[in-house]
Amino acid sequence: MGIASLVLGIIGLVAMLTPIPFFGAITGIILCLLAMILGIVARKNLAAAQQPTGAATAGMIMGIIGSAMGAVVLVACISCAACVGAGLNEAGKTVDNRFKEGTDSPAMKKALDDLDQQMKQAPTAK
Amino acid sequence: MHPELIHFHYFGAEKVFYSYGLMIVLGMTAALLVGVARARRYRLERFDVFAIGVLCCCGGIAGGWLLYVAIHFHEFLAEPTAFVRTPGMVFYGGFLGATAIGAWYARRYRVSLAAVADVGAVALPVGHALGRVGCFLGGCCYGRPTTSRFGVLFLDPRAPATALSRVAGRLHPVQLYESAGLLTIALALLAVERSGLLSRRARGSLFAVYMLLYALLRLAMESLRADSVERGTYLGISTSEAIAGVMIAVALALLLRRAAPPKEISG
Repeated sequence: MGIASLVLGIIGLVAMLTPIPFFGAITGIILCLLAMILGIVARKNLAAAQQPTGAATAGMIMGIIGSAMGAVVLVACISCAACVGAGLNEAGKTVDNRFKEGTDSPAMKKALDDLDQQMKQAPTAK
Repeated sequence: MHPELIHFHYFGAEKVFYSYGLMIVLGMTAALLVGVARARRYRLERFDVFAIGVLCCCGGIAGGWLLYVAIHFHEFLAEPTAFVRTPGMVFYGGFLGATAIGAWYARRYRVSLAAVADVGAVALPVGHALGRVGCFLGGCCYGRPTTSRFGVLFLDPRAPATALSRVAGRLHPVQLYESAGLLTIALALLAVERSGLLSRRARGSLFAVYMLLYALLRLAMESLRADSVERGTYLGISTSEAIAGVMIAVALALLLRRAAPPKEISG
């Protein structure tokens, strides 16, 4: 299990660093997460059996480094379609309320134009 | 606000380092360091605390994503890559995944789960506080419009808060309020732990106090958040308010159970 962790860690880190824009990172993070889990379990079992834990520790550390890199590259709040949708929803309500109050100004027209443009650019909410 | 930290090119490809992802990693690292530093106080092996922390992170992410996919299974079948490109999470799934993997490790290697929970009671809010700074940098989890001097204008076109901020002006920086609140909770829990208010034999009580304090903080924050509608409301109660209500009930039940005197064994 320790050797498997080490191999997965190496392949995962290499996949993470490949220049393939998205799937390199996805493959890398999956392999690195597996390397990390296998490394932790292998290290614990080997330590209990008083056997050398070098390969398991190396696999675990590579898994941790790769997973951390994957998180920094992949996890972006700006990609969350639900959050963008919520912002547009609230913005729409604010505009409606101002219309009801009878506000009509160049600032309002600009805000409406901005909102319209952002709604066109927003990702489709799942 | 700075959603994208660094853009760099190599071998013709472009990679972006996101502030949100970086703060999540820093938060997890800080939580693990605090947890490992506190392990000896609860007579736990440092590696066990580290392993449970790391495994809970993995289990939480996997569980949160799997439940999100299960809920949107028809859409997932139609376009599976969209669920990988813009991954969604469901809190309950994350909580169940983290609890299941933590409980598995504790059972398999005979580690006291209650003691680990008490170690995590201080570590979790420290990590969460850093994660909330990531939300502020990414421009998500934003607040309602305000005229207060603490209000912040979100103008980066890549941030979800910008649509509302452009129309309504300044928004409450609830991400930073919650971050400050979480750090205060961590300090308060350390003070409670050192004061001797909780019996050393009543393991798990500190975690119950954390659940109670966080649920109260979350209820206070929820009234200032503007994105609660999209996260789901039922009968005027948002999903997070409902979770906070359950957390308060569970925490009070745990504290009452721990405070009760042990039953006398006759015969």
